[in-house]
Amino acid sequence: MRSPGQAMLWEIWRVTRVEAGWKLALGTVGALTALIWTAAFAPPGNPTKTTDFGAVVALTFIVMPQFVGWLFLPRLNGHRPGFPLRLQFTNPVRTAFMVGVPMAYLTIVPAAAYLASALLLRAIYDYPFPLLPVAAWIAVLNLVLTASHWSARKTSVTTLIGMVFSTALMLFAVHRLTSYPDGLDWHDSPKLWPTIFDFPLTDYALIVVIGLAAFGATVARVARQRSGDAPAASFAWGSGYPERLINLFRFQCPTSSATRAQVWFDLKIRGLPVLTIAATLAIAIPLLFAVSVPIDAAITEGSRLHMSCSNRGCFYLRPMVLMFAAISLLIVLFQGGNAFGFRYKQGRVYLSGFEMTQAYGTAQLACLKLLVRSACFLAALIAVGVSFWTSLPILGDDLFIQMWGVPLTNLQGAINGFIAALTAYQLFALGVVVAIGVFIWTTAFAVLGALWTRYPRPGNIAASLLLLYGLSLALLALAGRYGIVPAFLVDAIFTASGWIAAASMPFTIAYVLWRGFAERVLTIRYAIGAVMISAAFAAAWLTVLRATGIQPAVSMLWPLPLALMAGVLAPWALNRIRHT
Amino acid sequence: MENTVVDVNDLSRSFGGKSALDGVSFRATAGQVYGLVGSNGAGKTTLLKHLLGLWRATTGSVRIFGLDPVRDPVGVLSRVGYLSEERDLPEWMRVDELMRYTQAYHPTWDESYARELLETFALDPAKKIKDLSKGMRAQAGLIAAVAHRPELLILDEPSSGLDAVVRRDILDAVVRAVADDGRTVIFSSHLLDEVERMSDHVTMIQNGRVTLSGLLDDVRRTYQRSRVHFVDHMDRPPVLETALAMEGGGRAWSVVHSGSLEQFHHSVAARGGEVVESRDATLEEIFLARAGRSRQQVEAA
Amino acid sequence: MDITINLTDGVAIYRQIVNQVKYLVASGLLLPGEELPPIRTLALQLKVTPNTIVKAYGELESSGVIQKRQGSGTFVSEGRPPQVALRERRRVIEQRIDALLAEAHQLNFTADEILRMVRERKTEMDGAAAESAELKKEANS
Repeated sequence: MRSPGQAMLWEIWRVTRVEAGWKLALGTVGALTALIWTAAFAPPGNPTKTTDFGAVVALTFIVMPQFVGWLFLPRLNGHRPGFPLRLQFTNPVRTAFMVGVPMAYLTIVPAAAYLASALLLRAIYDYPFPLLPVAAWIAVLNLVLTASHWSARKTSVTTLIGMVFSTALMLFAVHRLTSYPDGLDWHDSPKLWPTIFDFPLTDYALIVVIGLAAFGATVARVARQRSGDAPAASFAWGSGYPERLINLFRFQCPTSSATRAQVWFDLKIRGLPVLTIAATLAIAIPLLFAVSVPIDAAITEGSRLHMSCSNRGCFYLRPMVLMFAAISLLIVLFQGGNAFGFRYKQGRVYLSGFEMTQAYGTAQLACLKLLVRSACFLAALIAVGVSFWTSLPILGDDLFIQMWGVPLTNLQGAINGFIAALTAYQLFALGVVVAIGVFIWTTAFAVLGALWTRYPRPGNIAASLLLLYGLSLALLALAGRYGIVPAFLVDAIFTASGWIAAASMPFTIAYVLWRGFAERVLTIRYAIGAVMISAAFAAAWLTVLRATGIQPAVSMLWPLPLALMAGVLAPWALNRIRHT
Repeated sequence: MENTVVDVNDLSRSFGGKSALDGVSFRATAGQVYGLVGSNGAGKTTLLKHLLGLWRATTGSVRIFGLDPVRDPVGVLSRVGYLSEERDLPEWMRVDELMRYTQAYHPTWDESYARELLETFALDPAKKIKDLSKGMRAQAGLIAAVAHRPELLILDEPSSGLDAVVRRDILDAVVRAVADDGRTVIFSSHLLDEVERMSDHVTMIQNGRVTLSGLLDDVRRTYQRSRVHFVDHMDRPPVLETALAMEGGGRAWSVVHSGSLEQFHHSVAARGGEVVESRDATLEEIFLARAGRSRQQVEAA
Repeated sequence: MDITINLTDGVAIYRQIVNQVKYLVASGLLLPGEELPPIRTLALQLKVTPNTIVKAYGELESSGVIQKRQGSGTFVSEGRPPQVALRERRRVIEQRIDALLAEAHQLNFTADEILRMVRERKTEMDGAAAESAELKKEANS
């Protein structure tokens, strides 16, 4: 007979063990790889600069996995916010114990994992990887994230708290990492780690206070859930945009044809939300940039005592908003996924039966969904990209000189000049490449998602094999660098891998065409259309290459089969998952 | 020759090693109502999903209107109306948007019929699906399924979890579909009195196998329920050859049995009893007897 | 048309409809030439599949109880021979008698005892009816 504490721990361990293992492995392996690589490829003249860089990357590697919180934990509660171990509510245990035991586990494990990897790296390398301070950071972050998940009723609230707290911690980290004496660069930071990461006791006291406050608040909320005062969380949205965003723009569904109705559907559920998010970001970025400049100026004026800034001024907020803008570009990039509309409900991935039983052909359905998604995604990218590009000068050249040693105007000027020098035809070709490239990007996500959902085990095996293969290629390159393996062998293997990758594409196309025709998913007309579009893509690609001055060679023709592959894989993959 | 609407031939399907359907054959002709009965997990929904092409037939064949729903989804689905068990409708859509969206796919949409049904059900067209109760969701899904007057109507557990009023609405829609247009209806249910009223043909599925199939009246005639009185007091039910289930105690027993009545009279007399009364068994009695029988067989083995 | 469907009897639904229609005709509640409800209406009213109604009407038509007129609907047959009506009425009563005899056998009554009890009950009921008629006459006057 297990005690309640053991039962809870076992249940949580069962859900999180794989994730904990992966995080530890990924962090440590990534860190080791960075250190080995930089050590191997360091220019013989000034090796320490490169190896220091490697150490910084390694530190990032071992911190980042523990900094994202627990991803698989929501599975316990069916992805709803609220205390997951509801079965314990009827057991005679105190709420504080019920909350405290799992929370302690979820807080200690990431910190311990970090400590383990840091100690390992410390033992192998000379760098003084920080131990207690960062572990305390990680612990308190995980604690607050868990607390927010368990106490709040709405997913939006938990996400908000999580984001605010992580941002605050990141700000704090940057504050620490950039407060170094003049004359040194952030590349040199490993030497300064002992001083940077030497938290005063007040910091630790603050961390403890935050931890206790979060714990106390969670116990109070869970007690309310236990006594039934707080109603159970509403069913969390599977995956897809929240309903308010979808219904933000209401326009009537056309009834004249099925295609128009399907376009309306995809626009509403996946297209317009993307555009709305992009528009919001596009407006927010210049505003944030504009606001950060005077704030930084004010800080520079005000608090020279507390912060050691460089002689160019204090860059406190501006790197933050720059990072935010970069992250928003990433956010927009990942809106290109899930064109087929997978839903993620209670740990299972599935396609909506409603969408799949509409009287519409599979090939047309796939293309329509992908076209709508990529069109909106392209517009979103353009909006955020243009906004980002044109707002950069607001931040001022000083920032870029501080961070990369090169003024912004040089970089921007070079690219702007290049664009201006293009002829109309080349510009058009560039547009074609970008547009079709975006389509390929969206298709890739959708097809991979579809095939991985349909065949999860082969998908996992293929992914692990590819990862292993990539890693072994990296090690091979390393070995060649050290002269362990003769250079010609390394070249041969790399070239062979390149050719195999290139050959796999026509092979895949042939197979999919054969199966597609046999199952009546693809028609001759469709295939011809796909071929023509790929040809146009290839022509545009070559034009762009020539414009950049790169001489087109046979090896540069790989986008042609890629476009064709995307075109034929999309209907076939949807067919596989529509009729399981 | 009658018009064969659905033709399922020796269909088998297993999920992760467990067999969900085992050699199932099923035929449906136009203008008839087919009831599918079976306990939860027996395979009814799996069979219906095969008819729609949501599952691909790995062994055996499925033909709707002579077409394969996997190879020709448009040809099949444009003539089929479907109400799924979990009422899978987009949560964000409004009822009127759902109507318009479905209308776009089916040129045979009857707007006046749809509006009439909306009024009868008292559904607010401006309400979002996520704000509808379970019964209203079933009603909305039903309107979308029947308003385009499909040749084949497939309803998966249409009455499950619904109150009597909504259930009546659904039965009415089914009756009208068959009476007005000579359409075919296939519905699965575990409310046996509903199946008994509404079906022309009944098919019973247990553990993925078809155990009974045929005209409802024929099936019922095959099984009788008799009241039997014995001379001696019995603690346990006596073994009678054609009996499927026995209820009662002491000297008075109620038996559900198949086969000829004469044979039954003989075997009862041989055990020292007499048959007091006999009638055709109801569907519920047949179902319970067969379900109980499989349990008894398992116990014996 | 007042018809009820009973699912616990074990009698097929179409047969119940046939029996009840025959009963209504035999007892005069359905007059010759009166129109029967169309198949659709009766199916909706009884909540049964229309094909059952089709079957019931088919059997009623083949036994001459009802007639389908092209385009007008279904009507009770005119001028039915009296023996048929008698036959129908006898059949209904005989069903009751069978049930009564089965019960009697259960409870160990002989047929003679049953007959005596029937006559006794009839006398009692006649007496009670006469009494209530007297009381009514007194109340009216």
